[in-house]
Amino acid sequence: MTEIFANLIFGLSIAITPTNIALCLIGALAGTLVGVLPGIGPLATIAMLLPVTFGLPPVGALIMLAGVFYGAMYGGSTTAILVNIPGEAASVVTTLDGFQMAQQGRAGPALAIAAIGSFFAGCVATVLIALLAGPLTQFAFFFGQAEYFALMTLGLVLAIVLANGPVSKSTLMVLAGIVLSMVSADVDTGQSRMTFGKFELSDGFGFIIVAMGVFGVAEIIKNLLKPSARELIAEKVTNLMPTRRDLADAAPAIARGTILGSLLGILPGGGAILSSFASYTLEKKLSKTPERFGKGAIEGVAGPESANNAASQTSFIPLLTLGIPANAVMALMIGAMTLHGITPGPQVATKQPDLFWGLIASMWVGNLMLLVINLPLIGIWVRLLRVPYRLLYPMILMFCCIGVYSLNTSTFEIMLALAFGLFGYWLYKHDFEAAPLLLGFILGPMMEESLRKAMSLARGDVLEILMRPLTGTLLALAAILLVAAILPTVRKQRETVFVE
Amino acid sequence: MDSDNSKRLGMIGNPRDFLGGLGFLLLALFVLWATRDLPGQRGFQLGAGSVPRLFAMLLALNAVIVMALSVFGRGPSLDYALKPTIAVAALIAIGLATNHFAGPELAVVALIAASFAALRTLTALNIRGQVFIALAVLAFAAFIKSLGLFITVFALVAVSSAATKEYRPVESLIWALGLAVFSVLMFTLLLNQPISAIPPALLGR
Amino acid sequence: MKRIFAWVSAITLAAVLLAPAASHAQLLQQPIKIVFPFAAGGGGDALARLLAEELRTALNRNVVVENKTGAGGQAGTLEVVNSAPNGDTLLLTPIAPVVLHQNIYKNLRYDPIKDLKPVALISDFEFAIAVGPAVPAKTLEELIAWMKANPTKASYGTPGAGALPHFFGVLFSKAVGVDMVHIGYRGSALALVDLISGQIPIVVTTTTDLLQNHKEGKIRILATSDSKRSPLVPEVPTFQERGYKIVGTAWYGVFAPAKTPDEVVNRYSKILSDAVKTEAMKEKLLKLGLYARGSTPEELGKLQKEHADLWKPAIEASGFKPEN
Repeated sequence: MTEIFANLIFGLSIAITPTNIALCLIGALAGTLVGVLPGIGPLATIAMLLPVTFGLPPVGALIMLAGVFYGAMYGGSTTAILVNIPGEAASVVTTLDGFQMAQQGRAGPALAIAAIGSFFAGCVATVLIALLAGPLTQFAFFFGQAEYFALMTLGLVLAIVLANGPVSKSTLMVLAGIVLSMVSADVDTGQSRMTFGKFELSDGFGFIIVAMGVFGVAEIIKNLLKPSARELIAEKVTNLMPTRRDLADAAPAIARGTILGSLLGILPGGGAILSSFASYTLEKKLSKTPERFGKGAIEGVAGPESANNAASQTSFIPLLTLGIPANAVMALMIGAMTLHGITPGPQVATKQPDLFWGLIASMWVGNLMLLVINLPLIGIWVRLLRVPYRLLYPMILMFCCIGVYSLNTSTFEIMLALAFGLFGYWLYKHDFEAAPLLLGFILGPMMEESLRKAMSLARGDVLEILMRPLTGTLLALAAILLVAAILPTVRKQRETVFVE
Repeated sequence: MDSDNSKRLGMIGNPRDFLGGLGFLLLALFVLWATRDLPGQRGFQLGAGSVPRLFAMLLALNAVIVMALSVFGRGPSLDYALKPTIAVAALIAIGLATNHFAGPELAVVALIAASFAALRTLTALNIRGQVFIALAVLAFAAFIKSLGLFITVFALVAVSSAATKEYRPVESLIWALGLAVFSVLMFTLLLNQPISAIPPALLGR
Repeated sequence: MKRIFAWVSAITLAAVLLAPAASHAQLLQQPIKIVFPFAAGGGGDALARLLAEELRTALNRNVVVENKTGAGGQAGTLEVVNSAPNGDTLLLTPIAPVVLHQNIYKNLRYDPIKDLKPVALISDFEFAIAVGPAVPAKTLEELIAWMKANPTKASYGTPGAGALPHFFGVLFSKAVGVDMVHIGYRGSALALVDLISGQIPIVVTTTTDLLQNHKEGKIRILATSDSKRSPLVPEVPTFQERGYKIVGTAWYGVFAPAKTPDEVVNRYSKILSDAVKTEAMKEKLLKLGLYARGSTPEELGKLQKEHADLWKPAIEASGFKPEN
């Protein structure tokens, strides 16, 4: 125990040399700025900055890249809160209450609580990594393909429950999202499904394209229909920092989000994404006033933001203990590490302790840096909202278009984003919520893949799949949640029918 | 477009949900049709078509439920008016025709000209926002490859600015210029993205 | 109002100050574009960026990397095929889009042999087969005996359907006469998690991806796929040594549009080949799990044709058939 803390302090002593602090600051700043731009996420940022780090010493390079990673993650949330555009999967949920808070003039507290929650989650997760990386890895091993299938199913049910409209319509959205995600080349046989000979579609509609369309473009069209509404925001900005009451409301949500995120983040492929909306659903279920969710509840920002930061931190665990990256960003970090002569894995801790502990400490420093950078930036962001909407929306549209184009330099994809924008506007006209659609869109393919792998591995023995204890439990939980969500509405529906 | 004067769709209480459900029912049926040739389960392995068809069926079922519930529900009415549809159809026709004869860049220019000329009509029909936003994105798609980032962003901002009733032409042009300079500095210079700042044909080697 | 314009000018000024490295050349000069037909991140992308750096210093011109994804690399390859053959556009690609696709996609919109001109072979790498705790086998023979005894458990994971490890698995499956079920993951990492936890018995992927966990004894590499033993695990035999006539390596090569002038191609070929042969570069590539090679255009062309013939039967036997 004391040894671990001695190690952490040793790591800190490496992380806080002036050069490394400066690198961390540059990384976090660049990450924040690029993360704020819709469409350019941490992956693209790290890929772009990788060549820059070639000339740096390994520890410094990693510290800088870690800074970019956290900065971009947080920058994405800023965009979600300010203009209702989720830059990556994890911030879809943040749009629900974060953007509502911004519309009520409480963008400052929303941004601040996201930063504070992320920082707290980051601190806890750093200590967790230092203390328990080994045993926590075992947790990931309980999850085979069948368990992933069950987990994703549970995730889809959570997506239904977290929505704020009637259950029948939110299930419809989740299902529509899954169906849209099926446009792609089949992962097992390579057969094209619904691509109609367009090979631009063979990897499916990109998440960024759907998000930019359904959230970005549709949101602009929607706002233009009610012109004066947006102008009011600027007048109403009350305070930049959260009040005591806000903090009291958010604190338990942050704690729960951190625990949830720390655990789910360890699961490679999808765990970190699930954590944010698992946390949202949990907060909504535990809340005494669930009706506030979707209308600017601070817990709805605090929980998911903490969860997603904790998860992005603990997703380093499989990397550090097994050399296995949990997601694409981690894969890129491995690339960065190997280029600097570090082979990730448990032996790093013993062979290159300065690196191992330096990196872990740098995560903490990176999170601190984020807080230091972002709290003062809040004022600037909020001021951005004071820009008259007639100037703001062309700028948002510009960033959306360039963001989509820079992914793949494809004009077809810009047209697709436009199509999704019009689709999103149609959804709004018919009072459908876009967030569950996007969640179904993200989880659908993961669920299909794990289902098919599980079926192949069990050679079609469905009973064998269902009898696995963890799979059974998760599926049962999903069923219970779904029934619990449907029953009250059925009852209500019957009542209204009787009244008439 | 929603109006509270309760114009009902026959005896349906909530036409908004009804038509929404109908839209997704059609989507589900389309997916079932589009995946008809994909193989289903073979032995113990699920095929490429199994999961899409399963979810398309669930989607259809759910859409029917939403439609059924909407009959008894209460909700604002919603009209799909004829005039805006004709206006949009006319614009699409202009676009497709010029695209066929003169290529995408000129087609978009023609559309922009037509829309600015019909500014009043579009405002009256309440589709000004939709049309100009769509047009701005189309302009981006049509211009970016051949005209470079600067001109493209200028066009995007200048066109999209007209989407609001608070449109101020001079201000929007200054703003377009500012954002064009900014985007070139940010994306071409700072981020070294593979997007040319000026028309690539003018680039030296 | 005024405040906004003040902000924009401030940001603009900042951008100008932050971009001292960027010269006016970046604005007014056509950059050389290296198209990498897969997403950013991962070894191939890092390789593209390393090569861009080398070209930049050698030619004193701006070089950009463009990730153009889609259809297993078809989209990016097609973009290069259709771009001006003036040496401003290059393709850095793994083996699939230029060697396998003509046998996989019936309606491929380019002919990798006719529409592209080879520039230089950059690096190659081999595959290996590894078992996890679900299989007691310590040698290739023991594994084959186990598969024959448990034919319903003989599934193997790879980093993805339609990639070389998948087809190599098909070759192996045919060579030993056991019907192995293929499970395609999204990347080696996810396959490795299932391998280490015993959810899947066997994984076929690049030696580098297996190396770390092999050294720690969590998994065992039983054979490697090149004709020579792998320098990474010299103690492990090759398939050939054990009497199975299956050999396979994959590589990264640089290609240009077919009509690119020979002198340009030869110049680039020399720059790139010389660059990868330096010790510093060799070391960097080895860390990415790649053996630095370098070649003349002719050598790459020959390799491309040979490998196309080599994989054809495996692709046909794999059942991987995107178009009916």
